[in-house]
Amino acid sequence: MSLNEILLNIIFYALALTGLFSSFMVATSTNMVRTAFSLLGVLFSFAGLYGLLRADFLFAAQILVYVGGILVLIIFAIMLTHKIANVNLSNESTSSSTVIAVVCILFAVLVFIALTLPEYIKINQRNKPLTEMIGNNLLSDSLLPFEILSVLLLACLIGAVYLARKEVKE
Amino acid sequence: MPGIKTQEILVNMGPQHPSTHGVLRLVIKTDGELVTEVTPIVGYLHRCAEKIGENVTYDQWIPYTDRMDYIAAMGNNLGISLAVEKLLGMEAPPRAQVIRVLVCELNRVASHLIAFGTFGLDVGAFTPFLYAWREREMILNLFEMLCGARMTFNYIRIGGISFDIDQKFIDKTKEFIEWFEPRIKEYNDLLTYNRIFVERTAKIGIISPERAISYGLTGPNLRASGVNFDVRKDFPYCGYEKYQFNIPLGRDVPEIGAVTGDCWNRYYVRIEEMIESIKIIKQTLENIPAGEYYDAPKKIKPKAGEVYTRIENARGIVGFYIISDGSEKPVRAKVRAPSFINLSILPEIGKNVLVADLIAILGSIDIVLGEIDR
Amino acid sequence: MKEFIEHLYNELEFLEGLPFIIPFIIGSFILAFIIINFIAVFAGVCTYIERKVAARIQARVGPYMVGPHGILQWLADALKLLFKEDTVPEKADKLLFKLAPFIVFAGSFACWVALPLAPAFSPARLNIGILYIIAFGSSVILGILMAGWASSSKWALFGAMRSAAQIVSYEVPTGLTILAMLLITGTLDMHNTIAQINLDGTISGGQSQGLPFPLNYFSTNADNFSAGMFSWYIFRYPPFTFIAFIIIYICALAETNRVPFDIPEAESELVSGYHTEYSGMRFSFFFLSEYANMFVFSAIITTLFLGGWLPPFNITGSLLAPACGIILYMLVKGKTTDPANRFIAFCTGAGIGIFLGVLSGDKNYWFADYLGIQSLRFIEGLFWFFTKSFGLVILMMWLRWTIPRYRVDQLMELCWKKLTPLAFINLFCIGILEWLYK
Repeated sequence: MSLNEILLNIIFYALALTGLFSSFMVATSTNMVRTAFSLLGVLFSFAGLYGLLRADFLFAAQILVYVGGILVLIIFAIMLTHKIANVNLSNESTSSSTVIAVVCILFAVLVFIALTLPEYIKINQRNKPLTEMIGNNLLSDSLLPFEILSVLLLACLIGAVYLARKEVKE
Repeated sequence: MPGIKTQEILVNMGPQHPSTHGVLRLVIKTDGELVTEVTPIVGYLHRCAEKIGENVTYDQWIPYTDRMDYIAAMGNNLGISLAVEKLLGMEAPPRAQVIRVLVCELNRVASHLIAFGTFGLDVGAFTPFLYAWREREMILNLFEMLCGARMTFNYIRIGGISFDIDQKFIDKTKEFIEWFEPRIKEYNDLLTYNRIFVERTAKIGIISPERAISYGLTGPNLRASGVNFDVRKDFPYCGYEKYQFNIPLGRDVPEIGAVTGDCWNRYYVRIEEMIESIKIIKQTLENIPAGEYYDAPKKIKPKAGEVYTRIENARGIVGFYIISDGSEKPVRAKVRAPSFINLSILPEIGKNVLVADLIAILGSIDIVLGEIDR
Repeated sequence: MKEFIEHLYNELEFLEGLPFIIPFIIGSFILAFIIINFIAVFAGVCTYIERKVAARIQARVGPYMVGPHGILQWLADALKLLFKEDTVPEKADKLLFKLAPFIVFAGSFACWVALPLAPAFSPARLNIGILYIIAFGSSVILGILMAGWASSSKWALFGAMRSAAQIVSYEVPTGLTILAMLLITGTLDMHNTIAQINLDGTISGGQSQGLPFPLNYFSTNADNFSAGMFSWYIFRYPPFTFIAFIIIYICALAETNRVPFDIPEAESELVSGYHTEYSGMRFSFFFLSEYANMFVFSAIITTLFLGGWLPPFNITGSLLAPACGIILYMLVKGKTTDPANRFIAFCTGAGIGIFLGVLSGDKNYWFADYLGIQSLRFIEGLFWFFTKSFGLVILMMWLRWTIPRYRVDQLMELCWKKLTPLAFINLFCIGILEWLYK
């Protein structure tokens, strides 16, 4: 193993551990706002992992969309809710056996995928920018699903506006 | 959606807050950015000014009146002097009368400059504030030349004024007027017709004429609602009837979208009043009669009786109500402070506006806490 | 940056046995150290300039006591902030309260990495440069929200909410405008964006090959005229590129919370917004990031519109502009005392100088080329990049001290009802033009 690979491994494990620790915080913290901010760590470490896999577009999109957009919205919703910081979350569900079962199954699936598809690791060696590929794909082969998704999102947007406006009229 | 309700937040604005113009405390209930209720709480600057007045002689009370409306202290001096003079049944010599008008109008300009500057500051424009300060500094220099004090003058006394004016003062005042007149255009360019400023102030905090009268508003706030009432014109004192000047009134300005009685008009009436004050100052400088400037009995001991006088100060009508029992000290002294009464309309017009609008409304009412709390 | 270290690695003999990764890491750390200090000094100097600009506008003197003309005032301020007591409110969420300034600062610091500062030099050359900057720029919001919430002060919370709402909203027109410009540049790499401009008015490697009317005059008559600044993207499709420039500049003001959009820190309403409860070094981190952000946005605009590190005039023009300006200034100096008139005279003179330069048909743009020292291009490019970006920063300061602030609903109205539709139309028009002239 060359020095380069050792370094990459160190970075990978650091990112993975940050992600795991943050996820743990998200699941166990009793303070809603801290939970939301712990999510920041999860999203950032995943962005880092994308970066490590040289998926540059995914890296930027992850931060732009999830950190800059979705997480901000989540925190907004939390802050707008009255006294949510003082609510003591009991986290009773953590001891529930069904949850443990579901988590075990999911984990098994992940392990299975990780073991049966080793070629994913090879992405490491690829050195071509992804952005151009994704752009070309979106506007040629995957145009139809892309457009359908757009229409769906537009419908959601209009629906949200409709709901919000209705409340104002009352 | 049923079951969901918005929680109102109770916010304490002041007594330490950048835009409460002193130590005013506002308790506001907000629904997000919307103010649903505002309650002004006053009294942090209470210094028993009226009670002190009942324990000192008439002459000795004048410095205390300085400290009520400290931005326009000349008017307060004038009010108490006129009240006691009326009680004594005398009048100040003509030279003193003219100089009183001169200094009161200069002080009105200084006070309106502060109103203009701080209002700009309240809506986020910092620079006009410093321009206003620059011009006010010149007026304060003039006052310093006159009586040694820059804010608390103790200049207008019962029976006249404390120091005579000389040619140097007249020259300097003329110099100031020459400098000041073009500045008003500068203010208008910089702030008055600025689009953002107009959007922030036009159609905000509208006070109808009826409501203004029913709340007892006076001064520029009343006139901005279109009510033509100015003590200087309607019940002249100190020879105001001799001077030519107009009473600026609030009006609809469709080209920029301002309507009578909104914040923009309250602001603009003050700008126009500065122009009118300059007119009056020019006229007084033209003919200052020669003669005595101070003529009062050795001992001020009015007969038993009561008196109420009112004058038009920068913020509205300042009234002095005095009951005398024939001794050297008043039995009862009461001041009608315009800021206090003007502030009383805030809970009425400060409802259902945004927090930023509340600040603009408060700024446009132009209060002085020294006068409110006394 | 990587190329630079590679170059060093190959040149220096004592590094022979070492694997490349070690000098690379050390080099990166050194560079990061330099940049972080540069930002600190830069922000300090910015505060000094801001105070001087404000003083000039407000007929004051400004800082004058520390050093000649108060030039060391920013250092004194920084020292004072360092020694200030670091207070944490009792009811604050201590961890988040302490973390927030660093997240805000890291967000704006990370953006600097991808800026193309000079020809063949940016700290890290990313092929998703502009996307990267937008992404990290938006993560600043989280720090602001964190600060506002952790302070457990109503004013701070109000400020943070306003700030976040404002930045998220204004990212829409910003994004659309950048998208429109990307149609022209055809690359996300900020470095290529500039490198593909040829100073004779064409773009090599990019999508667009020719200018539309009327500016094609300069490129089609390249024998008679030199394009110079007319080769910048802002002159590509007038008036749409001008509109794009104005939209993105307004958005930059909003995203950096500057007047007239300084609603999150509106002093007269919210005391000072999300950093009300902060003091000492933590406060100065917010301060640093504000100025760093101002520069980052100006740098993006410079890159996308104003030709980045390219010199705006040919050599004759750049020599004649200050000369003519000074001559006219001297002529007017005796006749008027108004500094505004003198300034106008200087600008007119400079304009005449530039015009003469264009008329002369000089084809040399780089002093470096003229002198035959290629490495001088680096310094020249750095100079032009900073001059242009700094000009935009100073314009922000100028605006701050001149106009009042918007109300929060007016700000949103401006964004959603005016700027966003305008940006959409603009995007459409630029798209069509690009399609026609491709």
